[in-house]
Amino acid sequence: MSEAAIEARDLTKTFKGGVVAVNGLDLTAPRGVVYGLIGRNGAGKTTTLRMLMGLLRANRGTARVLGADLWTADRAARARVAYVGQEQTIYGWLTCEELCHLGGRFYERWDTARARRLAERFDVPTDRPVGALSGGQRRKVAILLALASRAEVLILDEPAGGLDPIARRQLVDEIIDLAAAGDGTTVLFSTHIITDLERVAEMVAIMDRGRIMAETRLDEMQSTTRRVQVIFAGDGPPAGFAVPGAVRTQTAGPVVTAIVRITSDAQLDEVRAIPGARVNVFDLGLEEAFIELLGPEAAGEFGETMS
Amino acid sequence: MIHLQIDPHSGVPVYRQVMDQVRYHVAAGALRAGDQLPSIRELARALAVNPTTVVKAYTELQHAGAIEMIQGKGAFVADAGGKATVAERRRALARLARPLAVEAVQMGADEATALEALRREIQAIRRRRADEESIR
Amino acid sequence: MTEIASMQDAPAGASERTISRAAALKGLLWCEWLRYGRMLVGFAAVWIVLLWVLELLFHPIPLLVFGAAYVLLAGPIIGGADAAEGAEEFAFALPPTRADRYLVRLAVGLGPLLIFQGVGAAAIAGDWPQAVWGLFVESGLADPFEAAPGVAYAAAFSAPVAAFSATFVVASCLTHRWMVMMAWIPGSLAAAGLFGFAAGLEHAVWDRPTGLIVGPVLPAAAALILLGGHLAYQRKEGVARAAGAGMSWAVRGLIVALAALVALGVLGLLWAAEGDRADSLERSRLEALEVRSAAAPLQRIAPIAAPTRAATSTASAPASRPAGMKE
Repeated sequence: MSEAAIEARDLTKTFKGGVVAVNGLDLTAPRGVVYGLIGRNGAGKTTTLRMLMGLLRANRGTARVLGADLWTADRAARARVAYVGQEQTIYGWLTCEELCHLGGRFYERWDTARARRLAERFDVPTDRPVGALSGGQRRKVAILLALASRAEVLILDEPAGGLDPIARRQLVDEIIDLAAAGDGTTVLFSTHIITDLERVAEMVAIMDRGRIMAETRLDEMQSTTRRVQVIFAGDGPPAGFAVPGAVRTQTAGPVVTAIVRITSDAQLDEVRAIPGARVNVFDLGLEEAFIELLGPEAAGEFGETMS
Repeated sequence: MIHLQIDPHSGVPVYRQVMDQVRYHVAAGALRAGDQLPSIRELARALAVNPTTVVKAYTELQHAGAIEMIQGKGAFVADAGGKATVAERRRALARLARPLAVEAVQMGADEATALEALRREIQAIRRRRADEESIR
Repeated sequence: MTEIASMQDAPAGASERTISRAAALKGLLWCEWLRYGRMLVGFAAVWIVLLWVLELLFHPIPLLVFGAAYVLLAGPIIGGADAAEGAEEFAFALPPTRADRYLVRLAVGLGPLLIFQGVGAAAIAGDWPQAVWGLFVESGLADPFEAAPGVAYAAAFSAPVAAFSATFVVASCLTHRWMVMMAWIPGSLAAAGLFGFAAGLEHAVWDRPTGLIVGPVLPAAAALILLGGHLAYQRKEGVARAAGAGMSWAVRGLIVALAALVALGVLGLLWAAEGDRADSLERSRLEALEVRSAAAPLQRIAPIAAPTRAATSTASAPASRPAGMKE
């Protein structure tokens, strides 16, 4: 119980041609937590998840799920983890029914009743070869297999991609049910659709260019991250002005806008005390924070980490 | 039954939203002492949010004395007002009064205006409470 | 509150049973059977009909052709399996390890071939189809049994086994679909190279092909190749789509090894050909002698071994070896 469910230390992967997809990544997901990994396309999320699953070999560093390195682990250790990849590569010639039969053979805690219920809920035909189904339906089958396996850790790579809003909500509901069941299932999913993540994630990590920029509890991030706007009376801020706790700052004339991590009530007092300065504090949604911190105007490195 | 409306994308933590709304409903009389709140799982499903946020909300509410959680039974609204001491009340109100005061000063509004705004809010809640009483 | 309590401690699930290795392998076997069952049954049916019913496989060479067909059709498909379908990401994420998958696929692919070629070669050598038919039909029309050279039996068994093994390994280690499908090319070349090398050795030792080296050496080499493939496969990365055309060290090594085998094989074949040329020179000289001596035409049923002996014995006793060279 004391070990983290998923742990990566200094994880690095360089592809042929020198492309460094993952660059010294550190990640810790405690047991029983729903952990969301967000990042832009090409940030290295899929490569990271593949290394965690033992699909790719890390060039440096370690990746462990429930204490085991899945690249070399035995079948019993691997049966505790279920995976849904970004591209649906399930065996096309098997029907959903047959895949469930296979699942029962491979996963110790396979739940046939749950598989049946999910097939009904997701409305996927169980007697047609999976290759004959649409992309969205194939993805639902993959998700169904992962959920019905009742594995202790679920690793989902962009699970909501290609799903219509109803199916996305069904997926969110199922993850919530998993969390509510209380048996300690850990879910790690990567996404760039932040709206789903905000509902269901307890921890979030922001990934950019192969590294984790910030790893934190979602509610803590929401509690402490604010957009602070300081409007000065004159033409601009006084020389050497900085908002305490600012992670990113932008100045446009007399207006200074900063993403700030608020750690104490009195943090902005000295700013408020500046004569003629008007301070406005705004809540920051995760999507906005993401855009602010990683968008094209963002200046590369973070001023300070947020965890 | 009360209706909770939360917005997961607003940047305000969901647990905080749940807390605020529960407390509002208690203040406005929609929830009375002894009323049962939805179970954690039910509320999480209804709001489509992670159950741990509901857990946190309920835990914080219990900590603040607003609700009680009874093993095996559920969460119930606690008796109004009885728990907090005068000092505790003063501290809690001072914390909430701060942002209002800051805003007022920055805007250049005077004390009277600020107090008037506060008075109006309290009256609205009292009126709402009276409405709830008459419905029951 | 009970719900909070149950969320905070995370006990193991109530319904847990451990899945034995056997059960997981059975699952894999079942899956592979679904995939290839029809093809294998088709091969079996053809084998039964050709060998036992129609008796068209009365000589090792046609059996060899059957084996070659198996290598061509089944080798890349079974060896490549997941890669050919682009399903490796899914397959490798399932609990069974790469080692498990390799062994199961190997059993499904090589097992039937061993039976087809092994039983087939034995059946031809022992004239079993005739014996079986003899149980049902008293026709008295027995075809004369002609024993083929020992090396032909050895080749009929060993060459397809070696070719399949090499094809299987090549197909397993590749990720590009079309490259996987062409895996029979390097596989067959490797087998041909090994065969040539072994035949050359036989010529060096006995001056004629006996099958005594070809027989064991090819399967032994096949086993080594399969072992190498097993090790290489465990290092294979599972990607949904082949990422780039870069070749890993394993594939590069494989190609070098195959090239070496081909070179050895070519040398062996040249050596054997040299030996054969000497033999055929002797043979034609002998024939010329026979014609001149106006003896009865020799019955040329005996294996290739005979002319050499005839040559040597003729050399020692030129005039007096009339008909009766039948073994």
